[in-house]
Amino acid sequence: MSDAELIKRAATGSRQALSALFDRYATTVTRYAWALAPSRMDVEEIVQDTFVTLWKKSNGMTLPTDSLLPWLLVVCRNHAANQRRKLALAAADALPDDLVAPDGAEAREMLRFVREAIDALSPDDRAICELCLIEGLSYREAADRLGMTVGAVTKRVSRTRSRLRKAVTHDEH
Amino acid sequence: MNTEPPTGDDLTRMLVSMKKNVLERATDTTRRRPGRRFGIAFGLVALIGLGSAGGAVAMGFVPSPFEGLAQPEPTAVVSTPPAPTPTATPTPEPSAAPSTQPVGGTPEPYLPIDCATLATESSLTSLLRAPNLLTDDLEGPFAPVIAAEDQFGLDDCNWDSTSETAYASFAITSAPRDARASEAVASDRAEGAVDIGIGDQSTQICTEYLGCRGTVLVGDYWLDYYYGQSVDFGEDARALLLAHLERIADVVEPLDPRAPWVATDAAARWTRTGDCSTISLATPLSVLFSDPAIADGARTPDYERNGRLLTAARDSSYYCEWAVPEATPPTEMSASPPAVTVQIAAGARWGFEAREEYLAGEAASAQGADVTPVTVVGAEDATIFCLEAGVSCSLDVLVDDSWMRVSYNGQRTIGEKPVLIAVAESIIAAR
Repeated sequence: MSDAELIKRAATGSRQALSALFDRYATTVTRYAWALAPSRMDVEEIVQDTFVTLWKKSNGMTLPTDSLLPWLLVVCRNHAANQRRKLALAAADALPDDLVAPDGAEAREMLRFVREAIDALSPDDRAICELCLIEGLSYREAADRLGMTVGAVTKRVSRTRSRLRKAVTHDEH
Repeated sequence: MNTEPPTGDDLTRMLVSMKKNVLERATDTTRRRPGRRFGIAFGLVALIGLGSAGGAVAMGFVPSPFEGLAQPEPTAVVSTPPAPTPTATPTPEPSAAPSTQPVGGTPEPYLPIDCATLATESSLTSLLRAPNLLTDDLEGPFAPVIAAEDQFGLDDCNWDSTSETAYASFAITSAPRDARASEAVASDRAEGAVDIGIGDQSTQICTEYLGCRGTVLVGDYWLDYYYGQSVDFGEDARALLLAHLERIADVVEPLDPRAPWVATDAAARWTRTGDCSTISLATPLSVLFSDPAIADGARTPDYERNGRLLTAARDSSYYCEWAVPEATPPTEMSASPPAVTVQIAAGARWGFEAREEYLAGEAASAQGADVTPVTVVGAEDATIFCLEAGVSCSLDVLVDDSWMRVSYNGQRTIGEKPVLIAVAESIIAAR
């Protein structure tokens, strides 16, 4: 069953569908969170928050591509950023350096544990990962940049897409 | 963290624990979802397995004697696959199909064998050590498009097998084999799927991380399958999967299918005749929302990514959206465009009635759902179901023996109930 179909079922209240999506992607999300979070406990919290967000937001969600993985990774990244922000505020310290949006090289390094998973995605999904996880765009902004209208029937061809048809974790040189 | 992420048993223990927490939080979370059923009364254990023992094992509550995965010595299993022994198993559901189904009644799956019996007859334990048949917390159809799948004859069987250190899952979807089944096989092969030589036609696509999926056409049946596991997916697991698919084909092939489901004559008014452009509104949405910027054309969501089997199964139903743009774009986490959504399943009176029965029950009231009968001009019956103090509502309508659902996903403060009713009345008036 496709990711899109499982999302639709989760949206109608099927925890079985949520379970299937967890089975499909939790390993990869955990590996990504491992590079983002300071402790194992934080990783667990981020991963759980990511899938609970999926559960809450599955209503009406329509993927512009085949795979849910890019969306999950973006949500995972956001939860990790939120967590760092909370920790910093709780400590009443100055914002740590790593709250500044990482540059491309740092962001690429954060993907070191999920390179194979991302390389296995379709070119469009890899491009979304590139734009969101390395260039810092939101999921919707990335879809728009790539000429995909989230939820629309058709996608228009964009020259940007062909430019981005490389694995996001490849070195730039 | 600068350390390497966990692997093997350590990773799996972590995943099992997180999965348990996620499912529990999903149970507890009241979500802004029109029309979904919050079946808390069915509980987590009902979700994850059949019976408390199975559920406990599945979630790692008790030590499991099983690995929860394929046999550790796959070659032995593959070389001596347990032969399907239908006569030695507990009495299966009768394979002799009824000659007809009651017109307009609750449909039965085309494949005349239930999931538990299929597991037994195909020796599922050769693929999954401790299979738990997953049953949803939802009984009956919970949306018109799902009712349409049932009317097509589709059936889903999902199992997982989980211990404290590993898990795996296997799913199979069955449906009538028609011309579109062979097209699905051809499409899969064009995408690089391999022929695994099972049944009359078959395909398989495997990825290291995501497991294997594919199609088997055998006898009267169209089967889609998926297998995944929490550890690396290698040749041994692939061989076990192939052996299991062969056994399933052997079990299924001789079965006489159930007769197709038939709708009442009245439902013909809602039988799908084209795309969403054939569903029109007597009163434009721009008028109903008092916003001239709203376009009136409905669009059909792209079902291609749902897979060809589900696309075929929903072919008789409508799932249409009218975009309702907002000044502030949704956040990336919402990802969904604001829209009015309409689902229509021709002939699914049985589904509407099942829904009404649920709404009248304790499970719905336990969630604090506001269930209100309403009048929709032109309809026989209608109910609005709201969660979160009316913030999120959906309208279920019975008209011409058919089930329509109207819902709205967005941030506009529109007085949701009147607009939903107006949309339904407008569609009925224009039919």
